[in-house]
Amino acid sequence: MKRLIFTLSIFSLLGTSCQEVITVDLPSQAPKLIVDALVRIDTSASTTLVSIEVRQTSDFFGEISPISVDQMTMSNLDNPGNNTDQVLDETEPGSGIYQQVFSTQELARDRWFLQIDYQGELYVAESRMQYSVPIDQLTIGDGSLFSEESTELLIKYSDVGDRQDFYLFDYGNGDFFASEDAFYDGQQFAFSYFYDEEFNPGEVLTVSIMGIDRDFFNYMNLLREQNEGGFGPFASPAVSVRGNLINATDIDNNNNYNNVNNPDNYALGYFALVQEYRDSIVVE
Amino acid sequence: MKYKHIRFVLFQKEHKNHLLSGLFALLFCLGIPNAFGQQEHTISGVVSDLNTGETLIGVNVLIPELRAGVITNAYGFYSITLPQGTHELIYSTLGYTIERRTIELNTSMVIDIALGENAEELDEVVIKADVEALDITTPQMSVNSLTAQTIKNIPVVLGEADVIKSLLLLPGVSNAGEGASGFNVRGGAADQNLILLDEATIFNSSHLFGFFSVFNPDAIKDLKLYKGSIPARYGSRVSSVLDIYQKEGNSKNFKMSGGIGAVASRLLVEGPIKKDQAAFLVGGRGSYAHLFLPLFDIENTAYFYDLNTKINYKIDDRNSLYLSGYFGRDYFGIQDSFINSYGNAVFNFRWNHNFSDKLFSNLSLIYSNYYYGLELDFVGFKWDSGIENFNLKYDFNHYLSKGLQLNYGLQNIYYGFNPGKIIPNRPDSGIVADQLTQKYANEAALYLDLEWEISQRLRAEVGLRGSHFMRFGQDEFQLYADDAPVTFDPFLLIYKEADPIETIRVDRWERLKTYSNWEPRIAASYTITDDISLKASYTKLSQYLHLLSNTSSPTPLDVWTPSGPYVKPQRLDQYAIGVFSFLKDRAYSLEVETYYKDVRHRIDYIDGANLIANNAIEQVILDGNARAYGLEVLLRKNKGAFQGWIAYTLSKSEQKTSPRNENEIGINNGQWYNTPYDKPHDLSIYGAYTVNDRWKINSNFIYQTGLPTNYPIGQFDFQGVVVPYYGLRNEQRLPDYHRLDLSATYTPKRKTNTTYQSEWVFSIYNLYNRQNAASINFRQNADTGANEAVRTSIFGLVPAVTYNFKF
Repeated sequence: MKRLIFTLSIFSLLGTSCQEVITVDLPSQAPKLIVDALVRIDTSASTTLVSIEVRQTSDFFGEISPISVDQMTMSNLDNPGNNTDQVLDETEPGSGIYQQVFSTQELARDRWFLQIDYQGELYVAESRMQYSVPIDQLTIGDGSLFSEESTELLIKYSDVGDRQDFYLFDYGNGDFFASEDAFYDGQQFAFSYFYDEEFNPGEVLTVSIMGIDRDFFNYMNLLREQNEGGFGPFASPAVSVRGNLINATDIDNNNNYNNVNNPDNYALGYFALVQEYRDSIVVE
Repeated sequence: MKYKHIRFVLFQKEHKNHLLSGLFALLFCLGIPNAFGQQEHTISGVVSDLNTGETLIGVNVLIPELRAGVITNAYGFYSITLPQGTHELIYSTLGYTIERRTIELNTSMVIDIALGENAEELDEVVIKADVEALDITTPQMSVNSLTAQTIKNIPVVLGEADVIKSLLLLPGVSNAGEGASGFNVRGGAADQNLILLDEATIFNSSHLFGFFSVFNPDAIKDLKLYKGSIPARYGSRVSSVLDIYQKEGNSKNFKMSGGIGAVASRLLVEGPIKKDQAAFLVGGRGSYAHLFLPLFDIENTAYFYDLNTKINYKIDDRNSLYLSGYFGRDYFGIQDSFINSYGNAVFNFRWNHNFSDKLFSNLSLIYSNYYYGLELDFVGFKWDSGIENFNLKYDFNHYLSKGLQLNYGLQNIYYGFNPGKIIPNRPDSGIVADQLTQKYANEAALYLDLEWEISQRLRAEVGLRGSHFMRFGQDEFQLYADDAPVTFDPFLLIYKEADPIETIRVDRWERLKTYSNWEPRIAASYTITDDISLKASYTKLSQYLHLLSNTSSPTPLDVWTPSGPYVKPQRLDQYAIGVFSFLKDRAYSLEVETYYKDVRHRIDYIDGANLIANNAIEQVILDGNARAYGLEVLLRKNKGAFQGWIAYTLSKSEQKTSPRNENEIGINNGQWYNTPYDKPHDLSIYGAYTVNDRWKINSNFIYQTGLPTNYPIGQFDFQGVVVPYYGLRNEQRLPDYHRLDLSATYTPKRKTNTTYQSEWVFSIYNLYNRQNAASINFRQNADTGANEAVRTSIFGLVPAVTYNFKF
């Protein structure tokens, strides 16, 4: 909830304040690797098609473009079995989309290790699937937050008590909301989400709920804050949102335990295995 | 030796007893054997305003032929011990006629003086510090005073006179932008200013997110801002002290004054309860712009109000009592789904007691409460947080002899912090009630300060303050491995919150941590000629409460954190040296000061820290350093139809957090970086021109380097969310800030048989409508999806009309 407070934006109250788009000269830097590896798992299916995208950063006013990596693999740390490193294949050369089919049971149960070789550097990340709870009910409400053109969607779900849970809601179009159960542990909880538009009758709204861990919860919140900006007393400070990908090129078990001498060579993005439930509602 | 009480009152016609008392005194004194060698006697008393009975602070009491003098204290009291003989005393202060008294001093006497207002001088620009001889010799430096009249003359946005906005025109004082609350002194943070209203600490000095200050200019008697060389009677904050005293209330006549403005109005009522003995003052201020919003179909609301109340009672010549209260609230609501309210409440009891004609004391008992609340109906909860404190102060002014004054006392503040309490606001809300851990602490101090005239040319003020801070136990206290609440990930190279190994409950009266610090203060002045002096000072200060913010300006949501096992007190050393000079027959004055400040244990936040409503703030902060240095120049014209000042500050303010060991990188790679309020160039020009008896024109021009900010060095996307990323902290700057304000005041001729006086103030803020950037944000365009940079400006050209009255 503190995140909710933090991200509310305040409109100008006196009428003479204004916002204007301006041109600014921005500094630039060598591009970095982006790893978009949010693996959504439907535990009711026996296999899961894992799809991971890689891109490179651009200047703020430039274009983000897909790239190809030298190799991308995922390994099961707990139960390696026969396939120590499962390679993900690029769907089409230059698309930046790498895919492979995995056993859902193994994905849900074990710790997985992602490795990417790119331009002579090795980037790694580790994740374990977090459980979620299904959505109990979706209802369209009639309230509005800041403007007339909005649609209120009420989401109800039941948290499991006595353990710390974090959830990520995906409303489509890059709209996410992350929540923690600190204030509603073990309760059935409902809250409203406001779409910035009004929908026509017959349109379908789809929402997914995903179980995430605390680090990914912090990551998604920061991501949203940085994307929205904000104004006035609730403006968010500028911060580079670092994911969980480590540059492991120089790390070995003999001499080098850390990257202290190489602070700027990091990859952006996140590798997370999450359990997902979806639900839809038709606008009336 | 007994003393006779002789009272001189201007224009008073109580002659009948004079001859008799005079004869009596003469007979009495003749009867006493003559002393061995030079005898000394003490003259003491209170200086007050002839018309209102208000005591006057900072009045110079000079004895020119002895080159001696003293200044009335915060309650108008003075005391000076002189050799027996005939002396001329001169009482002077800006805005009043000078009074001279020739005294035949052969016994200790009480001389109370009432000064009449000098109508001509009322319009003078009143930065009081060194207009008179005594001020140029006092070792006190780095201080600026403003009177209520100047504050009301300075044109500000929306025509509302504002204390904080007026202070910003002085050298060394700036703020973090138009929408920012608080102010920064000599490169210090906004939480490093001690703000006192009648001796009580105020935690949030702004209404409506920084647009107005909480001080009603009508209720203010005296205001001083100490930017350095802070006397030993003050402590607790390392950058500055803003000491404001309110009026007590007119003890002679019933008076009313007020103003009606575009956004807010104010009304002050004062008068005697018992003439010359007891008086009251009640002042209120409120905004009403929100009443017009429904006309524009806006269902949102924003308003503030505050109330100042005071009663004083003069029991007898040696005892006075004061009871005062302040209550202020801000209220901001968006359509009932989001309601925010906050404000200060202060209740204060004071007792002045003269133990003798050389020893003045003041005992203050203060209760203060700062409240912050939120109600979010669409989520279903209510949030309350705040700080409570109980404060006891016992201060003594001991006027030992002609060149020696001792000030000492003790202070104690007990704090209770409520970082936040969350409760569901309706039965069907899924929120579970929760209380963030409440914290308790106590800060005590003893001080001794000596004002000493070493020679005719050299004066010194030497002081020592000893402060002692105790952090008490709380319901949930977290313990960490190696006492380290922050860990470092050597692979990702980021600092992260450490998980506590245990959470314990510590009894409220046990101490989690104690800190004790000595704070020496030294200041000296050397008078080169009657018009030029050189001053130097060294100050050491400790600060035990911290308001950490990682937004561009502090928000009311930021929580004050007391020092404790994981947070050390801030420690500052400030060195300052300056030259003060009158020019051209005192028509001009020039002050040039340079300073260097060094702060240890300035806490810094890790990247991505969430500071708001954080129950374990120690997990996201690290210990660092800050430093600031600069040159301040103030050139003033004090006489003539045209008066004003030019204030220029050249400065640097930066901070750094080094890695804790060689396996870490620190914050910002352990390098110095600009604080968010670093302004290398800051120029303010203020002018006041008296056209004639009816019209006055005032104007300001301000030019400042743009504030530090962060521009993205690139962008990335994740799951369709496009996000900028950044390099080192505060490396870029916003565009330079500048604006010109103008105001004209029209005072209609006062009608002969009433006391009703009025004035019209026409003002234009930001005359050439410069769109100064309050912030530049980077975001995706909602329609096109392209990235864009958006500049937010708060005030363009704002005209306003205010009507002020008094009777």
